Amino acid sequence: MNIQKQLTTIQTAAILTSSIIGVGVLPLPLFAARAAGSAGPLITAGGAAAGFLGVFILIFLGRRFQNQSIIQYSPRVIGKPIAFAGSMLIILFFAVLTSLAAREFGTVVVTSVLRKTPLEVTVIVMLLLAAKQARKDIRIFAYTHLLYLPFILAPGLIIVILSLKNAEWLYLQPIWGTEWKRMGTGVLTVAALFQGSFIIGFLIPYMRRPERSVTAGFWGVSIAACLYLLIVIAAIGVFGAEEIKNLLWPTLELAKTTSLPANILERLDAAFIAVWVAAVFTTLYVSYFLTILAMSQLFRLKDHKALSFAILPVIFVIAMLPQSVAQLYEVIEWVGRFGLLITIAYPAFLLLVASIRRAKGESNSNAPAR
Amino acid sequence: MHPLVRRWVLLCIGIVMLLTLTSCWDRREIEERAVVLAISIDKATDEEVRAKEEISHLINEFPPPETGFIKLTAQIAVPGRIPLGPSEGGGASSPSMEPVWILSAIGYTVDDALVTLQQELADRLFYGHLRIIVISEEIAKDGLDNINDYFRRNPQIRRLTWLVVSEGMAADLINASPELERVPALYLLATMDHAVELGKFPNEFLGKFWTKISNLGSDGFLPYIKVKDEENIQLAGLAYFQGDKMIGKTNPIEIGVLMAIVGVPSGGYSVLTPYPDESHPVLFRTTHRQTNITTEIKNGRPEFTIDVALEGSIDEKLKEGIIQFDRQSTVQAFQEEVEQRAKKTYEKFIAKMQQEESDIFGFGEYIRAKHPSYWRQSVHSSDHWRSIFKDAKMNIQVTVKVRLVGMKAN
Repeated sequence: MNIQKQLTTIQTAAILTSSIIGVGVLPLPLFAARAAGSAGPLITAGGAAAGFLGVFILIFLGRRFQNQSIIQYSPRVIGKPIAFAGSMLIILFFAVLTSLAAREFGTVVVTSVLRKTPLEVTVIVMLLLAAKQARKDIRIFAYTHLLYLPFILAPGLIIVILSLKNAEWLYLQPIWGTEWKRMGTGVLTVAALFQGSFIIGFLIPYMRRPERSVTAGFWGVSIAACLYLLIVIAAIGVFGAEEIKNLLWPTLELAKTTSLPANILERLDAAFIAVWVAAVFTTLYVSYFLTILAMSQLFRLKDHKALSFAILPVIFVIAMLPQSVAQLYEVIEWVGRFGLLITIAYPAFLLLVASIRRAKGESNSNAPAR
Repeated sequence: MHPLVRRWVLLCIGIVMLLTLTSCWDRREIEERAVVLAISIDKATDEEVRAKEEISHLINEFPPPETGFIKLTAQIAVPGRIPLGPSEGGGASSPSMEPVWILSAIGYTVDDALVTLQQELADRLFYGHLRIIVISEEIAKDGLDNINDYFRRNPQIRRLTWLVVSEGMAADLINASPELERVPALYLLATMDHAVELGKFPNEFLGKFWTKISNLGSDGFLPYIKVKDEENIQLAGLAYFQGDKMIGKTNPIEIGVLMAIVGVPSGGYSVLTPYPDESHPVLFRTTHRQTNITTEIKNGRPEFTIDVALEGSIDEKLKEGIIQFDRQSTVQAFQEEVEQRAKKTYEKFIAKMQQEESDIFGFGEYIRAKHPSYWRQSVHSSDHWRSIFKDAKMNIQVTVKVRLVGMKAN
C-alpha cells in the first residue's frame, strides 16, 4: 500500500474538529450575544453553516483533483499568476491566524491565571510547541489530533453539563433576532472561528479513501459546531445576553461559575485553562502545519520540515504586534472576516471556474505530487 | 542538519520548555499569601478620611467622591490557625490564637482601598478564597457600580461569592464571632449556604445578581442581614434594587413570598394561619412550590397570570378542641383558608414592589422572551420597563395541598 495514502476517515474528521475548537471558544458567547442577544445560538448555527459551506466547497474541489492540494491544483484551474497570488494569500493568512491564536491564548493565560508571567513567554511556548510538532509528517499529525480529541471535547462538555443547573431558559428566548445587519456581521465573526477547517484542502490527497471525505467533513465540522452551540446556549442560559456583554471571555466565566458536585472543586477555571491548552495547541498545530505545508508546495521544496523553525520569528513578531486586548480583538474580527474571502470565496471561485472549464486531475491514483 | 547538532538543538529547546512551562513567575507559596476570606465595605467617617495616607493618589488631586470615601475591611486567614476539623476547645479564647486578622483601609474606590491595604501588609492579598462580600445599607443605596466593576474585572473573584447587604456597619457583620464557628467569615457563609438548603433564600449569588441587574427586564435583590445581640446573624429580609441602587428592604417572611412567586422549588417558610378564627392559629409549613407564569398583552398592556402551587404540612396548632385534622374535609377547608390568605399576601407584595418600581420577580424577562414585538415597540430601557411594570395587571391563583400532618392523629 502507498505509504502516503493512509489517512483514515476518522482521523480526518478528528483533525477537522480539533482544528476548529480552539481559543476562539472563550469569547464565542460574547460575539454571539453582541450580535443578537438571546438569539445568540442562531448566530452560532449560522456561523456553523458557513463553516460547512467552506468545507464542502473544498471537498468537492478536492475530489476533482484527488492527488493534489489546493495549492497544487489551483494553477491548472485559473492559471499560474492568479493561483500564485491566491496561494500567497493563503500562506499569509494562516501565518497571521497562527500568530493571533497564540497571542489570544497568551493574553487569556496572563490575564486570568499566570498573572506575573510575561506575555511573550506564554506565546513563545505555545509557538515552539507547534513549530516542533509541525516538523513531523502527516502520519504523526493525524495521530496527535486523534489522541487529543477527547481532551478537547471533555472539558467543554463537562462545563456545559454542570452549568446547565443554573440556566434560565427564559434568557434564551426569543430565539429569533431582528437586527439583520448586526446579525449578519455576527454570523461572519462566528464563521471566522471555523477557518481552521481549511486544512481539508490539504488532507484529501493523503486520504486512503478520498471518496469518503464528505463523511469526514460532515462529522468533523458537526462535532465542533455542536460543542460551539452547546457552549453558547449554556452561557446565555446562565448569564443572560445582557450580562454576557460585560464579559470578555464568557466561557471562562462559565467555568468560574461552575463547581463540581459535593465541593470537590469549587471553581473550574484554572483546571479548564490547563486542559484547554490541548485545544489551543491542536488549533495552532493545524494552522502552523498548513502554513509551512502550503509554502513547501508552492515553492516546490523537498519537504516542509526546514521551514518550521524558519518562520517562527515572523509568526512571533506578528503575534506581538497588537498593543492591547482591545486592539487584539479588533484585529481578530477584521482578519477573520477578510479570511472568509480566502477560505470560502476563493475556493468557491475555483470550483466555479473548474466546473465551467471541466478541469480535472489525472485519474490514476498514485503518490500525491508533493 | 547533522544528527548530533540536531540532537543538541532539540535538547536546548527541551530545557527551555521545561523551565518555562513550570511557570515559575507565578510561583507563590501558600504562606506568602494573605488569603482574604471576607470583605466588608462601609462609608468612611470624616476623621477616618482625614487620616488617609497618600498611596494611590495625592489627596488634593481629585475632588472627594460625591458619595464619600469608603472604608474597606478585610478578614484575612492566618496560616496554620484555621481549624480544619471540629474545634478542639481551649486555645480559641486567647487573643493571639485568633484564626483571622481583620484589617481596614480607607479609599476613594474599592481598588484604591485594597491598594492602601496592600501597602500595610507584607504578603500579597489573594482573593481566590473570597466567599462573602458585605456592603452596608448606606453604600448600597448610593449605588454599586464601582463595586460591580472592580469585582467583575478581577479574575480571582468567584461568581459564586455571596454579596450581602447589612443593616448598620458592614464591618460588624464580618467581625461577629458566634460560638459555633471560630472563623467569622465561614459562619456568615454557612448562614447563607444553609439558608439556601433550608429553602429560606433563593440561591442568589453574586453572578446571579449581576445577571439580574444587567437584564433589561428585571431588578436585583440581595440578602439583607443584621447582627443580633449575641453576635448571631439574622437573615432579616431582602434588599431590593433599582438598577445598581438599593431602594428598600422587606421583612423576612416576604422572602418566602418572593420565592413562591418566582417559583423556587424548595420551600422553607412557615406561616401562621388563623383557623377557624383569630384565636386559634395553625402553623402551615411550605415544603414544595411550583409556579407557572403566563403572559398576555391586552390593550397594549402586559397582563400576568401567576399560578402558584404549594405543598406543605401542618406543623402545629395553638389550642386543642375546635378543629381536628383527621378528616380530609377538615384538611380541605384549611387548605382553602391558606389559599385565600396566601393569595392576598402575594397580591399585596407584588403591589408594593410595583409601587416601588422594582421588578425583582423578573416579570419583564417574560415579556422580553414571549412577546418580542411588543418589547421592541414599547419598551426602550429598563427604566421604561419599570414604569410599565408599575401598571401591569397581575392575576394570582394559589393552590395549596396539605400532604402531611405530622405524627399526631388529630
